[in-house]
Amino acid sequence: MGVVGETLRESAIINLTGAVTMIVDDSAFAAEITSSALLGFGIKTRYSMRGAAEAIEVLQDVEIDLLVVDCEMPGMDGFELVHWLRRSGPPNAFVPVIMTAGHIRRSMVSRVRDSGANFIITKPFSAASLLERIVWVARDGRPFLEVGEYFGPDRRFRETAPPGEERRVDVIRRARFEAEKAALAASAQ
Amino acid sequence: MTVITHARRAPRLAALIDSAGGVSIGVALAQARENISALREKGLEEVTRHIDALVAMDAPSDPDATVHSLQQIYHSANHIVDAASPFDLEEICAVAISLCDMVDRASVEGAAFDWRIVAVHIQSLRLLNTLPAGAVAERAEVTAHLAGMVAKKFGQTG
Repeated sequence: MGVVGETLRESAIINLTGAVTMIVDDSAFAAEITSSALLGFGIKTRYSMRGAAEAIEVLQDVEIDLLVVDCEMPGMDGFELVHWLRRSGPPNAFVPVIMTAGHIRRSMVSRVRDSGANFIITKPFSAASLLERIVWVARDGRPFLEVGEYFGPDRRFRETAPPGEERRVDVIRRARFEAEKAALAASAQ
Repeated sequence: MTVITHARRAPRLAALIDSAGGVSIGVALAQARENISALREKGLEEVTRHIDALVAMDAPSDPDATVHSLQQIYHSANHIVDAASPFDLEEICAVAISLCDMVDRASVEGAAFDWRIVAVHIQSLRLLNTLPAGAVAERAEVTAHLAGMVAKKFGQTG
């Protein structure tokens, strides 16, 4: 396969060696899986935390470059951690955040939207999709907005589409309409 | 509603990723896949451990115990997805996600929820975990039976 997803070429060069990265996941094994994938990308995970409280202790003082955090954790969960982070001021309020989830509860959908994370990956995720999201959040130029309780990247994707398969109904409908129009035009010729 | 736009500098990650050195995407992915596949045995042990924990659980006897049990089941099912998903254990993953859906539904429906469906999910997980890798038809039968049951039970409302 020549390309990975829609945005990455296999021959493209990336350098993530110096990225100070933190994983927060209550499952030691899930954290090990994530850190193994990151190691393949050249990232040595600096901090692997089993809970939000110990993560906060570090995040208050040490600047990091990437945070990968699980949504579902006992006690303070991933959403609450990111909510805290975005209001924590320097050094990490604007750090790129990827959240991971095995399953999203229906009652959590609004929390996902309002979490302030740059991206949420639902499992099963592949090494390719994780890398694609890392590259995407690194280049995510969206401004940060403060709207009521929300503090995080602008949730409207204006110039660049989010990575992965298109799921926005209006965009899918428009693309389908354009394809049908093109097919009709082609058959009329 | 007031909208405040915060100016921010580009993340350091943006500069790092384009700095000199590094590896190609193809090499990075090959390395990552190799690292993950080295954890397969450990992953299978994790899956078994969490399925055993689910099997060992008793049905809740009162509302407080119900809330606690649902939380425990949800966490275990999530951990099964964590451990199974990198190793192409698709049926186990699908049943664990379906179990999460059931727990989510139970949290909303409370006493009206039929707990037997959770028990069937747990038994399906146990069965899938003991079937040999080559038992493709049997695995498909287990998941199809479960999917049919869920559709019959919730098809009209869900």
